[in-house]
Order: sequence, then structure tokens, then C-alpha cells
Amino acid sequence: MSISIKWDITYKCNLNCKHCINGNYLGNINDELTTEEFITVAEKLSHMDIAYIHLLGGEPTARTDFTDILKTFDSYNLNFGFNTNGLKMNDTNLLNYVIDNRHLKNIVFSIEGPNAEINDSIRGKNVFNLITKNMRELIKLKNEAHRDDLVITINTVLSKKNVNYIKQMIEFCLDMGVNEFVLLQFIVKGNAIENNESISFEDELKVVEIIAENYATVKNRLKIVPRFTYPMAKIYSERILKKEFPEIRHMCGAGTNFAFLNNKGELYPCDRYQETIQNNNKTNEINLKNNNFWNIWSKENYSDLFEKSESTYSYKNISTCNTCDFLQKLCFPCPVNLNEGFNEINTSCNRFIKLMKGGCM
Amino acid sequence: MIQYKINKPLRIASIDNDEFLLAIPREQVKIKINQDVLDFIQYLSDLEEFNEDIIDKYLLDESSKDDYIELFSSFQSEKLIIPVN
Repeated sequence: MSISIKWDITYKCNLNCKHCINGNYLGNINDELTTEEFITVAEKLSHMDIAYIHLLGGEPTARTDFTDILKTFDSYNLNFGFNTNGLKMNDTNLLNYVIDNRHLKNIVFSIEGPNAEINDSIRGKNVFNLITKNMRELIKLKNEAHRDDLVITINTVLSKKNVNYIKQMIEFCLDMGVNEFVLLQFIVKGNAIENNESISFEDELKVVEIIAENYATVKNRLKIVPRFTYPMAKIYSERILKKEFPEIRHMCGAGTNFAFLNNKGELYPCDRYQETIQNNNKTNEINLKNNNFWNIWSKENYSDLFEKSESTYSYKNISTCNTCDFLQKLCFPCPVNLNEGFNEINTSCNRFIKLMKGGCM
Repeated sequence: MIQYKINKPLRIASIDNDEFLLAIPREQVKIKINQDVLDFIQYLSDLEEFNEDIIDKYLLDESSKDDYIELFSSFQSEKLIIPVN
């Protein structure tokens, strides 16, 4: 197992989506890595056993040196991918770099609904038509270049606005010819605090049932990744609905085989654990541009999340987890908020268990 | 005699009464160990470098020496300990 890295390469963005979890960071581009500094950090990573680097932000393509970044990863033989809102993916120069870049393995488009009305109410006016046009062109080029190794993904954050359109989203993904459809949980953070559209368990169940209904017929053409729910939903689908369901995994390698880098080059065990690290370390001492990866990785708080997520004692008071067969195999509920005496966790598992026992919701 | 050091950083999580999960991020290796092994690793962690003779210093009696020689050898193969330069 090698290390995977999530890297927020910029907090510039040409949109301001209503549920953006990094809304508070957007525009915070002081001390953002320069192209040269970016290359220095990438060069350091190239000497390590890195499985994959995923670029996020902000909007990665909003960096004016984005094509240089693509070239850097290619020249250092680093496999990578990026998230995008798709608006800049009509730039012929960028498209050529994308298609020719053999180390680019995944492009993730964020789309919130199967039509302009739903998508644009979250992501902004006229966005849907532009993205779909750009995506179609990209997929056409990818197919012409026989880039089967380049996975095109659509990410959708489940919210009250789109929860009734998931069947249409699946059809939309098939029509676009994407490889993967990832359904994400609504996280009340950043811009989402003021625009909380998180869904109820009843809505979650509805989506599980729609996926179960469609999965068998689409699975050979579209990989569905239900990250909004937990492994118990798969059991519910198979036992109660008698329907196949895609695998659900919630792994946590924070501080061991997963790392987070921000736009300044600061290294963290996870993006959700920045505050503790910043409270106990000087930020210049955790910046990869002037420090060795392993020296940063050796600092005390960097082992906290491993100790929590792998210890059986962390979950002993959580009634939905402490008897679960998936715990610490397929499911590592986020350890960031696990503290001593913590006895509740925000998963829907207990509701699925109740349903399977014949209880009401 | 080859000098070794612990392949830091290490990650350790308590998984049972006498069981711990040890991860070596540089090698992406995870192994289950017991309290005695953890005590020995923590002893070695405090040293800048050491060789196999450290077993004699660590053990209070000779009765388990063979076990520790075997353990030292497994540390080498797991890359928990690596040669100094």
C-alpha cells in the first residue's frame, strides 16, 4: 500500500457553490505555492512511494499555471487526477494536455442535478449547459485517443434539491458516457452552514432504493459509488429489497497511507484535522516546500487519527458500531470527532438495523 | 556488526488487552504485536542506533534470548529496523 494524497492546490474559484465545504477558504490565496514551489514539492513526492494524488480546491483549473502542473506530474511519473467544475475545460490547450497526459487517471466533474434548473440553483447561472458541453467534448476526445485508463467521474452532493432526481442522474451519467457516478454526503461546513440542505434518513433510504433498483442493469456501464451511506445500506438492500448493491467503503488512512496538502504546501494527516495540527505546530515547520515529508510525518499529532481509527477502544461506547462486523474492516467512521466518552456517531446504520428487524423508521 | 535504527515514524494503536497494531508508514506495513514486543520497540526507539547485542542489554535474564534474536530478525525483514546509512 502506497500513500494517497489529497491536495487543495488553490483556493481561487470561478464559482461560489452553495454547499462548498471550503467556502471559508475561497479567495485565501496569500502564500499559495508558486509554480517553482509547486515543482519543488512534487519533486519531493516523486522520491516517495506515492500511489495517487488528487487535486482539489477551490477550482484547480483556475490556477493560471495549471498546464505546468499537469506537465510536472507527468515528468515526475506521479499518477494523479483532479476535481473540476468544468467551466475551463473548453480550453483547447488544456484539453490537449489532459488527453496526452498518461499519468492523469481521473477527472471528476461536480454536477448537482440532471438539468440546469437543479444544478444551477446550487452552482450558479448557466453552469450546467457549459459543463455538459465541455464534458461531451472531453469524453469524445478521450474515446478517440483510446484513453480507457482515464476515468471520468460525476460527483453529486446529495441535498434536498436533488434527492428526488437520482434516477435521472443515473440516466444522465449513462447518456454522458462517464465511467463513474459518486454520490456524496452533504457536509454542513463552509458555505453549507448558511445553506443547509442536508437530507433526512427517509430521503437517504429513498436514494438507496433507487440505486438498488437500477444497479444490476447499469453496473457494467457505470460504476456507482454510494459514499453518502454506510455498509449497512448494502445489507439492507440485499436482505430486504433482495437487490444487488454496490460496495460501500469508508476507509481511513489518515497519517499513514493518506495525507492532505493545502495550497501553501502544508502537510496534514487529513484535511479535517488541520486545526489541531496548527494549534500544536508552527506552520513553517509542517510546510513541505522547506521540510522533509518524514520529519513532518513524525510530529506527535500526526499519529492521533491512526490511534483513534484503528483502536477498538475508540468505538466501544458507540452502540451502532461496537457490534458491527464492518467496523475497522470496510468502515472506519471518521475518527476526528472521536473523544473519550463519545457514544454517538452520525451514521444511519441504526435506522437500517431497525428496518431490518422489522421496526418502523 | 551492522548498526540499525528504528524506521520512524511509527503508528501504534491499542486493539485489545495485550494486542497493538503497529504501522510503519514509510513501508506501508501493518503488523499486530503484543505488549512485550511493543516494550522492546519502544526501548529501541529511544536509541539513536543499535545492533543485535542490544538484546543482551535489554534482557534481564537469558531464558528468552532466542525468542528475541528471532524477533530482531523479524524486525529486519519487516523493515521495522533499518541499517544506519
